[in-house]
Amino acid sequence: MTGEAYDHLMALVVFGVIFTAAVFIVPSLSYVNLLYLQQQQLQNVALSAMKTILFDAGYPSNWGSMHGTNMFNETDVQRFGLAEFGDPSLYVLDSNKVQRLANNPMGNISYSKVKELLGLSGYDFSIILRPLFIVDRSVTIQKSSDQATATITWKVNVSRSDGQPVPKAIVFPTVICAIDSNTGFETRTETDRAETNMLGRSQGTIVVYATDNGKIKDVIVIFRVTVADRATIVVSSQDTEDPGDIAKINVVGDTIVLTLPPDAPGSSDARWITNIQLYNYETSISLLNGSGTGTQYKLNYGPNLIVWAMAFAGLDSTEPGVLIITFRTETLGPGGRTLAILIGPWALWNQGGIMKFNPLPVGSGASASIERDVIIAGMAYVAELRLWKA
Amino acid sequence: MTKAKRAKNQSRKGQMRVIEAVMASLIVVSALAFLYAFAATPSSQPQETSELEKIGHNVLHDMDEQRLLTRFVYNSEWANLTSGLFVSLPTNVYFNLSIYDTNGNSISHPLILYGNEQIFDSSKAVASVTYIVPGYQANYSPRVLVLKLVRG
Repeated sequence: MTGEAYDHLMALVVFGVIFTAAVFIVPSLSYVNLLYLQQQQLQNVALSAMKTILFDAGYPSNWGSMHGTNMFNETDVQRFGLAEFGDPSLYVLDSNKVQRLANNPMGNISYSKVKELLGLSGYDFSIILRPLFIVDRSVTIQKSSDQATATITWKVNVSRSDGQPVPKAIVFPTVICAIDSNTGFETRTETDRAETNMLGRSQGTIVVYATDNGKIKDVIVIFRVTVADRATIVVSSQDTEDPGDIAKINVVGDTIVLTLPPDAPGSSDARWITNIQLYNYETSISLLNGSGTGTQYKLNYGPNLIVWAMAFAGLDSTEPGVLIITFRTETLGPGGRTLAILIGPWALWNQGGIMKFNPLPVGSGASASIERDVIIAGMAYVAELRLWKA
Repeated sequence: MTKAKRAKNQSRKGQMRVIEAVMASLIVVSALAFLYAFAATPSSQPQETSELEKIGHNVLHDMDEQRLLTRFVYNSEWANLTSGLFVSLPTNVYFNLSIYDTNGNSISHPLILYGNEQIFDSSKAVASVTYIVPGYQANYSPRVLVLKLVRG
């Protein structure tokens, strides 16, 4: 009798073990599918959101520039989208709208507002804009003791985002010097051309001479790198420390707007615009030549001078690549007022060529990522949307 | 019946119970497995191919938008075309581009390829994008571009 009970007990245990195993193992196999379904759902939501971001101009259709030179107010945006209004081509984005995603002195649109307009409650996302390829560069600037000569040695390494070198990329380094001479303030540009080798590397030297007893006050190097004529632009470091403390450059439609940063240490003095140039990758056009004195081209922390704005007819349609603005100002360096170069308006300049909107880390669960090539101000970029459950 | 015989009988009955339990469990498991086999399992291939097609069309469209695609095709700038696709497509995507006229005749050109050619035969998720360029400048001479894409 005891043996029979023992066998029944054994049978119960064996059945229990196998049944429990079945109950746990089979659903776990289905759980993989559930995860995959969740991933697909995220991918579909991301695709839909990306479509709105890239193909819709939003409402008002000019929401990026609708406030002109006044502060941007996000409450006036009723629908979100970055597409260029009236452009029949797909994937062409409005730079005025893209600029509102960055930390913009003229006001920007907040993450929560964009999330609300896109109807993405329950999700979190980030938008990343980056060049098609990576340009690592190093620049050495050596000035002679009398500041009449500057020798600029540059090295560039072009690669894809996975680190693969890009050979035969054409590198156009452009050196811009601010010169203080007997004849006034001058901005001089010198350009070179080189090609990357099989390792994606290129290097060279450019020498700039100042004439008329001029002194080279500031030097900046812009690299335009093209692969199969698809271009990207990066900017090297420059002489002036923290040039962002001098002013912030913004373009709204045809108007250039300069604003002073709040309480920049050591640079709370007045500054004058001496020159504005539009560098269009191949040519530079002088838009303004100031005297470096007076109130017309002055920025200061007093009333009415904290924001400077001027319209230049046709500026918007020319899609300015870079605005090069020379200031007479105090800098963090030794000495009194000197010349300093500032470039803009593109927010990508200030962030190593990459702009991130809500760069929060992706959550630990499933996430979706969608990449598309887009064109902003005539240049190709990669727009990436990452989306995950909140 | 002796006591020993009765005990032996009971022991056999108990063993049968164990065997029955095992068989019952196997029936339960096989029934679940059977159901699982017939369950609609999502496949990643259509979605993956669809996404690659969108990426491929996007890249060709952007190069066309910048007036580069037609220049590369009609001026036989094959190295530039390969480099342009190489930097424009995501890093883990391999490509193979073929060009035809409107009658389906292949236009002679060097291999416009990134990755191993065999991967396009062996992969289960190969996306194919057809893009037509009408001509270059004033010349109407359509070309059909077939871009095959696969994830590496």
